[in-house]
Amino acid sequence: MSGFAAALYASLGNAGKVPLEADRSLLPAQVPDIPEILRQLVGDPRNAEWIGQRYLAESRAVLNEDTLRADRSMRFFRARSSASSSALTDAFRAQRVSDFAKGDVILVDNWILARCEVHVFALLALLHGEPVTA
Amino acid sequence: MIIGFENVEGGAKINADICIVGAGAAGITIARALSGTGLRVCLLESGGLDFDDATQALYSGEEVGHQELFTLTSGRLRYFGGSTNHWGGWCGPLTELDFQPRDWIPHSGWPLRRSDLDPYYARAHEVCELGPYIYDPPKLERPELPLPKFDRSKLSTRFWRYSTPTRFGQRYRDELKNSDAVQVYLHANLLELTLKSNGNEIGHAVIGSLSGRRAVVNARVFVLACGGIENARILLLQNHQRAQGLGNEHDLVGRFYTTHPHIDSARALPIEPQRFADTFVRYRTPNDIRVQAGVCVSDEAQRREGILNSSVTMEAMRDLNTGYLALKGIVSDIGEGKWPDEFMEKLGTVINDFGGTVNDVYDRLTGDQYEAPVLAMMVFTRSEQAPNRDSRVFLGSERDVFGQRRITRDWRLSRLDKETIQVGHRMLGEELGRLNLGRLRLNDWLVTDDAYFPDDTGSYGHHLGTTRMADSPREGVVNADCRVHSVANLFIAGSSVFPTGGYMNPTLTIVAFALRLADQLTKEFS
Repeated sequence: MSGFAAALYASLGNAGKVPLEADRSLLPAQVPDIPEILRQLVGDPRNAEWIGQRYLAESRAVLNEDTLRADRSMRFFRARSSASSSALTDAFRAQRVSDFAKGDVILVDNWILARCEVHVFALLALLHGEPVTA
Repeated sequence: MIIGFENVEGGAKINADICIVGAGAAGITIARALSGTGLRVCLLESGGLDFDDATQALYSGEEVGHQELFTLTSGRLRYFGGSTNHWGGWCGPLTELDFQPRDWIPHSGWPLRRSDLDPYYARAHEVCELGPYIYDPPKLERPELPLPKFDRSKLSTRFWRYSTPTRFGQRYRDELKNSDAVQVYLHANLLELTLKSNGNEIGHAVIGSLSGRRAVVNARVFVLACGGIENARILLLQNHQRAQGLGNEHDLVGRFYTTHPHIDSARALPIEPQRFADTFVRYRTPNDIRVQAGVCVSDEAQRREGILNSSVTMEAMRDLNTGYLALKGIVSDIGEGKWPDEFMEKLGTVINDFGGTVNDVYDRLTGDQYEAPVLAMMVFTRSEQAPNRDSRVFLGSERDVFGQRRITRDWRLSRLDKETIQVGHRMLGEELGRLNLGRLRLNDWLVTDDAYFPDDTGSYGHHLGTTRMADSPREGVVNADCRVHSVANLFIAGSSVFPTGGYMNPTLTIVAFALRLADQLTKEFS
């Protein structure tokens, strides 16, 4: 399995299957820790950041935290950022299903990914602040 | 009766009602079906009962278009049984839409419907030893491993059925040998078809062996059943009475050469690899039907997107770097009395995967079969190719040992051929993601917006379209009855008559059409 595939697999793990009920305590109800929320949406944050960096590097558009968060595929995030962890996870999952169903996908390293999941990966990469290597 | 043409007296005249040229899936099927109808059948085969290099070399020619993975000599076989001597046994009918005119695909549409062929598909199942004619997913899928519920506006699942595979030459040899009505001539090459003085019927055929023996076959009807390339070559070679060859009044013979492009196209990364692999692996149903599920673009998607028919099958890619396999390698080498290759590396793998190795060894000791873990799935495309007048086979300048011009193949793939695969893969990626079954990675060649296909794109011997079927002689070489429009007693059997080919392997359709042609010949000539 290539580095990117392994990273993608690790990144999709939790978001694909397991609700994050156990991590509810990590989410302050009123003052959300955005990087932490994003981390809980993916299986392996470190790998997700790495994919996000690949996307940022491949993308020709000017992408920063504001443009990514303003994207319509991130509505789940704006609407639910103060909600519980599981509600946020559910909303993210629903958005991802919607993106795939509508064909709102982005090619990163030739992988066909939902726009919202790529943007979560990219936000993680931007917010982390340090280059991450696989 | 099977006769070596070498043993026939030189200059002999062979008389028959029906002369079939080519003893492959189509020719053997027609001969069998005509046996017992009262018609005398002569079945000519260029090769013998076994492969020989000299006969096979008659197939060689020149390639000038897209380089095919399988050459003109490796993609087909020229001896009794034809290419069924090396086929993989993949079978399935074309879809209803495959037969229909599609206004987004120029030159599409057959002069008959799928329902016209259904009774023959059912009989073809018997010929190919496939069991009952069933393809409905609910009747073939396993309850414990249901197929994904894809969005039907994008994709559908489809089953392939598997013949054993039936080697027609072996399977039906004794039957033909014991037939009084059928005379099979081995090492008998068609050299010439001669028109009667009326100019629109074949009077006789001249045949010859590589050793120089010659004979004449007189028959009421002639059937060419030599495969998707050779059928066209034979018609083009008959230019001694008609300058453009037989059936070629509208410059169609050899044109519209299409295949089913087969190519490694993507990797799927399943969320649950083993389960996903088990879903798409080949298996036997409880009533011993051998099947494999694949994924194809839906009819609705073809219409909406303006694309051809296309499909993929998927094969597991396994981790071959496990502790168990490393340990097995060490033990195997020691068992052969030698120091293990790459001993330290393998030992390191065993140590790093110690828990897994212990479990796997225990499983083997308790009788379970070892399967290396699934890492990903290789996605393999099996697609339709658009009818393309410029994609063709034609007579080249080189000549074979009979002095006859060899074939030149100019296979051309188009932007639509590639776009079809791209759109299909995009939808597959979307659906795998929507259902959260996994994610899809496209191979590099599939990302570019052009008509580029890699060199390892292969037809797998599916040669179609060179004597295409149409109601009008301006659109096709044969009519819906497989009769050459301009030659009343000349018929064509095989995939060369397919005006379009869907993505499904052609043998079942070839056999179905052969059975249909045999019925028609019986009705008209017996």
